[in-house]
Amino acid sequence: MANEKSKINALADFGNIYNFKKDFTYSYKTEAGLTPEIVREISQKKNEPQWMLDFRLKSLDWFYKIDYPNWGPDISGLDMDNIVTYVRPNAQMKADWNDVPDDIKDTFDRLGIPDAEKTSLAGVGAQYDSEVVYHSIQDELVKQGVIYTDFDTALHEYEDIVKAHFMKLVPPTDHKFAALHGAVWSGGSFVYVPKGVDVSIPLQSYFRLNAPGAGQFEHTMIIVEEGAKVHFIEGCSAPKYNVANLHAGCVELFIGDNAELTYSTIENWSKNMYNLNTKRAIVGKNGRINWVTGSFGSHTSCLYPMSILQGEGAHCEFTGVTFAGKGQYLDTGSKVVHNAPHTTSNINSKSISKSGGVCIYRGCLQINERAEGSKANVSCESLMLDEISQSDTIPSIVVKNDNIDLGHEAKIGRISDEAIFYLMSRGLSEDEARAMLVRGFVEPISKELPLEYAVEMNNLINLELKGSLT
Amino acid sequence: MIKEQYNQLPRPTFRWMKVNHLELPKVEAQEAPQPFQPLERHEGPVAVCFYNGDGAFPLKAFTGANDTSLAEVREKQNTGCRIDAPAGSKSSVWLTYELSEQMPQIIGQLGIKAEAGSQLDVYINFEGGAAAGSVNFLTYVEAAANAHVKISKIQLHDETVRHIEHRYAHAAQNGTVEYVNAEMGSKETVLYYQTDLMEEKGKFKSQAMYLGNDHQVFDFSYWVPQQGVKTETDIVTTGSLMEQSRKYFRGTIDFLRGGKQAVGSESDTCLLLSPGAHSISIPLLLCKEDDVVGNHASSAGQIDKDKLFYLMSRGFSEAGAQLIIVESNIRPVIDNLGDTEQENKVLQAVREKMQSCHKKGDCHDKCTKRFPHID
Repeated sequence: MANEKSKINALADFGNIYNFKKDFTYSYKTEAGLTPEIVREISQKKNEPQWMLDFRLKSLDWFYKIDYPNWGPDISGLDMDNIVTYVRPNAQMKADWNDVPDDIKDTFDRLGIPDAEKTSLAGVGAQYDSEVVYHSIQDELVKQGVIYTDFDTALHEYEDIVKAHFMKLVPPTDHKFAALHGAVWSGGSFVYVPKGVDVSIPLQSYFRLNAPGAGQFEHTMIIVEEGAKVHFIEGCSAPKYNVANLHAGCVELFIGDNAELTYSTIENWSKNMYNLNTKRAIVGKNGRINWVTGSFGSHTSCLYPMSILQGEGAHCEFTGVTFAGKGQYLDTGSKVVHNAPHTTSNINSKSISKSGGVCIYRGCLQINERAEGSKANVSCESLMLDEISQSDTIPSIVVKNDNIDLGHEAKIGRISDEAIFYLMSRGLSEDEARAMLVRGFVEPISKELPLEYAVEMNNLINLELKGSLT
Repeated sequence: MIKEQYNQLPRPTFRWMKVNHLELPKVEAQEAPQPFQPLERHEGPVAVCFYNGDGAFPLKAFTGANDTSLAEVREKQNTGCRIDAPAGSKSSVWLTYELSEQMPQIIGQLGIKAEAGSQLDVYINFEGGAAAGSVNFLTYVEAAANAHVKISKIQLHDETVRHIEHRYAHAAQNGTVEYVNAEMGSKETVLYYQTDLMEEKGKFKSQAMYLGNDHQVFDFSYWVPQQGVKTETDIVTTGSLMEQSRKYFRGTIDFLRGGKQAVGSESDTCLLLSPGAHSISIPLLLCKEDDVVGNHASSAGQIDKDKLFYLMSRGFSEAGAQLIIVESNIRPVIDNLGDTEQENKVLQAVREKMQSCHKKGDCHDKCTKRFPHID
């Protein structure tokens, strides 16, 4: 019993890692709402080129024109008139943690980012509210031509590359929140890996939203040239407030021929967050995209990383786990479009819902006319931990080529009583047995992550299960 | 061109995929057709009667079905039939609805009521054709406690026909509703089947096969809310597509709160025999109850070339080998029709269709490319 109590206390401490609040201070913020004046203000503050201001204004037009989606979760609690779209923290971007203001540095210390940088990362970016406050990369990688910087710097220093790629994969016309992102984006990361370079140690960007009632709209762009390889880790969290916060980031990944990108995300936004993020990758000949995703936080999520397999022999691997607790509605999944011959994809999604939480797997798999000889496999498993939760599976499969091989399967159920009984007969309490089975259920996902992040994911699962353990 | 929406998904998804419903060109409203009576025979103590006017079935909301065609089948029907199976009885009924140039439109209702403990088999044939022919058919099924209703339907209309069918079924405690469908004909086949399993141990089983060619469209829509304890659903759809034909499968197993120990499974298997054929599959599992087991599976692909190679190495032509493989895929459904005459008609139609495809050369060219050393 004492053992269980200490475990619960440890979990409570772990929970506090994410849900701590700092005084809301800033050097500048826009008014709440969304107007052309606000968009101009953001662009002016960032001293952007004219083309970017034009792009923002055009995106704003699209935002006004496009309807809210009518098929997903209820987002009526999100009132754009009350969202502050730009909050500049009291800090400039630094390359040394000692130069970052103490209260902001303390935030990232508590999240373990500087420690992780020392032990297991080749580069780190840290965003606080709307701006990046810290960015660094190992000199060795710089010598090989790798670029890892914040997106505002990239816009000025690598303008041609940014202009050629910015919102080309996710155009502002895609959906309402892509248009919103195009209008008010701020911060984010830019990664460029030159031809043939293998970045063997992961890069990580961490996004922290501290301001109540604000939005975070970071833009992440990763270009992996032919034959190169990189692992990028994205983390996000926020303290919980009583007002709605919004995350409408955008991730665009360009993977060249024979290149490989692993994009891992551990998302633990606070339970007042509307997480309406868009992620998309285009993969060249024999290239590979690996998505590893853990979604634990937010009030409402709509997140469907999309892979466009554009080059012959391109491959997509998606491994994701979603855990919805009380008051959460997490609508997640994946989209894959096979656009070239002999492309392959493997989707493996797991979800757990408890205490009235709602998990939706929403997937799309499209095999187009040109994708001769393609193979795709989709597997979805959902676990219900109680009778007040909900778990739905909504896959769409469109096949437009006869020379393909497609398999899809999905299962919904609860933890087997026999398995719990067996573990209890071996000396475990019912709660321990249940937690062990849940960890086993997500093991295929956690094993895809670097050790430190797998531990973090397991801790998050334990934290989510805390209600069941007490 | 004005289009109408059919078979809306109970839970819509990404708009850009255009899979949330089927769109078909609107057919201009026609005058109420002449009364029609199908060929009928029956065995056992079942009561079969025909009526004019609306059967006034206590229909639940057919959420997602096309409102216009639903209204038409209630207001302009030209044939109505009621089948009542007494408690504890065992009966069979055969009905044939045949289109012709003299009877190009059938708007029909069929009410089926199986009293407690009865077993009722209904065999329905939809045959014939007419230029711009159409069938709009509504079936209402009530299976009382421990009753078993099986409907075996074959649809062999000419490919000038639009065939629309709505079915609602309710299975009471330990009641079973079973459908076996062989869908071969019509230019457009649109099926909307809703079955409520609200009482303990209610069961719904469905097996459907199709074989498409030309520009045929098949749209199978199932929605099964399961709220009774220990209810069971098993939906199997299998078939092959040739030329420019398309198949949509929208299966929704809906585990509602309270439906403890419910089991539901759905599967959709499609053999693609031509590059222009499209298979669209949207198998939904909705779950608000933890003590259930639900699963779905979907697969699509070409004929296994190893199987084809083996059969051809044993002396079959590629057309013959392909026919054997296609037939073996759908044969379990055909065999389950349970009526020899129906089975023979469907097998004949399958063979004719495959031969017709081969004569056009599409499949032959593909096989020749794949196994040039054999051809």
